Amino acid sequence: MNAATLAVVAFAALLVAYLTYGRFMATRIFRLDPSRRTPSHELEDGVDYVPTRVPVLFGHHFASIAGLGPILGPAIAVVWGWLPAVLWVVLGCIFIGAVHDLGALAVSLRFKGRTIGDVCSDLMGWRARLLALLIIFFLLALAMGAFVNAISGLFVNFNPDAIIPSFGLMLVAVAVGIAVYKLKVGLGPATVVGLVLFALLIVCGVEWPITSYEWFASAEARQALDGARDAAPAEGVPGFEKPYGAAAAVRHLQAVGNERAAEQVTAAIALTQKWWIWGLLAYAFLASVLPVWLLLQPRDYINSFQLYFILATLFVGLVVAAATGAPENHINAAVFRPDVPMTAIGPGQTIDDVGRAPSWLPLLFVTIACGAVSGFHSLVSSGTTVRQLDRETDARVIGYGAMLVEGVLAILVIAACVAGLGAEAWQSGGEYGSWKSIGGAGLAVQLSAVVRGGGNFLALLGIPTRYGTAILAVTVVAFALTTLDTATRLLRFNVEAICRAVDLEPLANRYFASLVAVCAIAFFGLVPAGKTLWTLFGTANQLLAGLTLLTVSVFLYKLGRPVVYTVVPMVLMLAMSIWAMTINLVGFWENESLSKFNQWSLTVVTLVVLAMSLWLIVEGLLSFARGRGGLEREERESPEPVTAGTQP
Amino acid sequence: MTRVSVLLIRENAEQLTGGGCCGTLDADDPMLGGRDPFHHARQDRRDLGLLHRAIRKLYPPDGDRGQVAVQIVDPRNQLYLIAKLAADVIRYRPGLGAGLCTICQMFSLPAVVVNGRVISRRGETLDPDAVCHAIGQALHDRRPAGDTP
Repeated sequence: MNAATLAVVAFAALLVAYLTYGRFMATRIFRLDPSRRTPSHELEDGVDYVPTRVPVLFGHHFASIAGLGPILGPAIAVVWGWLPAVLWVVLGCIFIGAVHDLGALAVSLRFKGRTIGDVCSDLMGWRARLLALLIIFFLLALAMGAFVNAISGLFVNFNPDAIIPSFGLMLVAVAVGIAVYKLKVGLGPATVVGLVLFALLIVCGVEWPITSYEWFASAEARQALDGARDAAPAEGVPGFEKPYGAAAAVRHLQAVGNERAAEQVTAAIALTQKWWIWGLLAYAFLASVLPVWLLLQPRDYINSFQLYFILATLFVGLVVAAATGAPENHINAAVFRPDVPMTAIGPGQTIDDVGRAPSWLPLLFVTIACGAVSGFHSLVSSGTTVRQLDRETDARVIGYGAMLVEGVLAILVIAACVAGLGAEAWQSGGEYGSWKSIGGAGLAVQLSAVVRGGGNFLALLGIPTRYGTAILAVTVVAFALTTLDTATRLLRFNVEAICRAVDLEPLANRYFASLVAVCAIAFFGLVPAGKTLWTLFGTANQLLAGLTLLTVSVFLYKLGRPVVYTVVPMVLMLAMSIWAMTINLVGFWENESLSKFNQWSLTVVTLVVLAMSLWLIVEGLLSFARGRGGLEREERESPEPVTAGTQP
Repeated sequence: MTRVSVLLIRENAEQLTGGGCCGTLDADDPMLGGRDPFHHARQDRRDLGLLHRAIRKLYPPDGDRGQVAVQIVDPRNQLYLIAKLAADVIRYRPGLGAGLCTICQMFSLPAVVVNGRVISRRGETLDPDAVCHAIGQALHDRRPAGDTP
């Protein structure tokens, strides 16, 4: 099996599923009816409720659900072998993720475009609603803690060349925002100038990488690094070349026997990363108080170009690799690796000597979250997309289809990691050689694996590897920063609401609330257990998906429809999430490298989310126990047929 | 007979979200605490909504004058927008200059494109009467002589 064949089989499975299972779910279970008036027609106002054609709405919906999640999760999960990761992405998308997104759309359609949270409140009561909001609150803080951790590691260890374009992109976004929205410059010229500036920033970043760790290194270490840059390549010594990442610097210094300088650089790395985290938190604070049109919206606009560029280039790169028989098409990863060594196995050692990594079960199911199923999609599906559906049957393309395309992105990332990265990464000592080197390492290592693997695919298209990796690194960082901006703002709104609720009106201002939000993110971002945050985030995300599937199941149950197609995924999601959370809980408690404060606080956070999850399950069971009925009237309402949509 | 193509290109991202798969800034009202971070954008959207309703009132999709296809497009959706603008220019042939202006997206947002020709003016508020008049003119132009509406 090679990467191209793997991708073709996976894509074919997704396509067949769309044509069969997707159709079955849409017609038989959710009973989407093209003649029923959708909220976009019923409440058409040209503002929120607008009947929109499928190709148009698909683009909007996909740009809103795709991001960093389907990139980061698969990059970690392939450590257990490529087959479990691919199977989970494909089967998870088909039977859970796409059903989840379609279900959220279908339920919201019948409730006049209301959000899934509101529907959940109606069907299961306000307590369930409150629990969902609390889970989202924790989820956001956790995810952002993980993201700042990952970005700082990427900037310092692997991609100093991404610093200039990443921050430059913000300035470009602001300039585009002002030009388009305030100065009323033409969209075409503003876009072209913005993209050209972005390309120039990539060139600047690649040519002049910012090795920030050198700012905190001793004079002796800096001198050693200068010597390493000028040194001629030697056999057996890893080169120290652009972009001069700190990880490469340490490897080089160790190889030439300069242990003292290597130690000094290692110490500088820790300090630099901490400073970057603070810097990113300062950015999050600033971005949270700035108007959205100034930074968030224009960057979102540029992000959409990056998303399609990455999808297209990874896909074409894979096709070229297959056509030319390039080594990037050869899968170097094991098919299935249930026993991952905890650390690299040395000469004469066995896996029993170094210990085993956590089992793939249940961690695989929470590590790949957005690539297979994501609770957040329900917010996009039910709140905004549903109000633009022209016909009910369009929900199949938008809800089910867009999730499958996100699965395609996840498969391409898997291909980049298991094949594009090269054989070395899978040998002992390589990124995927042991759990400590990938799953247990900082998130930056995992991002770096995607960046380098994808960069090799881009190289097949004639894009120099240095530029390819820089483009991918900047894209990943841009996605993460957009999410960081958004999430900090959401946390801020929540803090403001809480301050008002407890009569602390003076504190309900954007600056104080942003500060509290940033502190919550800082707690997770700076905690030494940052590497486990992703699985904790994945767990919370899957819980949210479980909640949505619970709401959809209750909806179907009350209408007297078959619920097995949503209850089984729901049970799987809830079971895996709770199992993974219990493992995390024990891990935090037994982790001696954590301070008592961190141990306690992480344990308490996990316990709170665990308790909320169990409570939520009880709420769902109570709702089922209340019996069927209650929605028949809505179902029986004879819909006013739609005689014409917006289709030409 | 070909329908009249009307493209309303929004000033701001239609979804009004941000954050991708791991967080969104719109959709769940209780999370926003009653806030509307996109209030400035909503005003623009309301203006475009007024225009949309005016067009739909005069040219209803299911009425006997339902020969007008109206689309509201998000400027982020460039994959669709580029193809649609090019297709409209090729189909309706608005003239070289006007066609180039349309294809190169030499319009400020929000914009109205009727049969491949940009009819909105830079920085000016969209006037429903003027837009409806332009659509009416386009409808008239495509009718064979002697065919009365």
